Amino acid sequence: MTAPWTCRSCPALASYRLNIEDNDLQQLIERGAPIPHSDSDPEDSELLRLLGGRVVRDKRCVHLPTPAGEYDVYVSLLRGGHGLGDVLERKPAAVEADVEEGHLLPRYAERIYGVVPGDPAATQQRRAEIRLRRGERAVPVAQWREQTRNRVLAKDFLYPVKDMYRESMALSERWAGEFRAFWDLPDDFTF
Amino acid sequence: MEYPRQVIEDLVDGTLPWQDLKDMMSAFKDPGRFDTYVSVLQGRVPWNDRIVLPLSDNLLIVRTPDRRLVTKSRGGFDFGDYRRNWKLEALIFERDSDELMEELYPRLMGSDPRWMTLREYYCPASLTLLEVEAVPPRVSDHQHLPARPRDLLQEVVKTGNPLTCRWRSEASGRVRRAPSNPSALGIGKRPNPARSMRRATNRSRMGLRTELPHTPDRRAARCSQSPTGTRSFRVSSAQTSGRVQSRRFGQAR
Repeated sequence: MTAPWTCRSCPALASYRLNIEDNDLQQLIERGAPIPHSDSDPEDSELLRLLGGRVVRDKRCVHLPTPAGEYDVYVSLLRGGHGLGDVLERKPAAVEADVEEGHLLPRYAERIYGVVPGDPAATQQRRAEIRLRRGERAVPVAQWREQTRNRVLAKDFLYPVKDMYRESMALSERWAGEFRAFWDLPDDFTF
Repeated sequence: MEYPRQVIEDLVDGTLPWQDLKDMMSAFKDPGRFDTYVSVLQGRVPWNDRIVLPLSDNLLIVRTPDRRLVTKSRGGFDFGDYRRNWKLEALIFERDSDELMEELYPRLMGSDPRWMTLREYYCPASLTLLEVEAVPPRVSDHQHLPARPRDLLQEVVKTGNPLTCRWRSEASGRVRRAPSNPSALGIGKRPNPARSMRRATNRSRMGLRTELPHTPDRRAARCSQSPTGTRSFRVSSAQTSGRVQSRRFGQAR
């Protein structure tokens, strides 16, 4: 239910966990009240709306063996987020079909694909706007390198990422040289 | 067998019926497919440079009128020599905050930008999205073509021939028709029935069982179960002797 985005590389980790323990699912069933069936939109979670209980909800997707009680709810979502090609070139009918079939949350059809369902003129206009916005926000790579270089020099990294770079540079002199050359770093730069 | 041009046109458009597409995917690639594919693409770009190798939907390696090989976008932007990373000449927008991730993904479903950022590369001429990289923050970006296609392209530069016509066999030095399948570009392992058969024979002599691979050429290898339960491989050496020899391996030996 996520937005297809990346062209070639690995997709973003589009996953989270949601556990609801000591919940009132049993009472809902006994009363014949509506029960949750999916968690298709994490920003409007059906599970959280319909179930009360002790909630664990975060981006850790590793479940260690922990005891679960009857009626405890355990949701673990692992979903890909990648696609191929420019989103603005996807046929509007195909985007509409994705929404109809529940593969794409409706608000992303317009936001990402620029598709206004059933309105070709509005779709064309929205897509032109998105293209213009790209031009306003994107910068030449040379300029971006200049800006980003300072963050490399400042070693502004999360510690596992910094460790990864330190190890990679220690393992391969060639790779270290390419990394320093790309960011125009001093010859003795290490993490 | 060669597919009619219209089928390749439909393939490019994504309008080929699924069953036809599935049959195509399961069949061996017809020798002229790549040439037809390139010629279909050639008819759809708004410029006249000759396409040598399509890299993606909107990026192609082309030969310019002054005989240079360059990376060019469908929108007409010239990224320079094909051996140079075209991304260095592109426009970039990096998504490196939760706020920017949430433009694309519902909360909790995007990546943590401290672990991974998205780099979007755009064509400076048409603002078409050319590629997205999902990378650790501040990773350097120095190489864009895997080694094998790069070597093939260098061959193109040396010989002046389009990639699809001829390439030099590394082993024999002979110039031959380029196989039109991905494994010929060094992507994945190329099936070699003769090698598989030799391996099966050697394993069999050592008392090990080996399942023979499916082979498209029924004359090349036949596998049958004899009434005594021993497995016999009928090995064709028709390439050398012109007749079929039968050898028996397995428990009987």
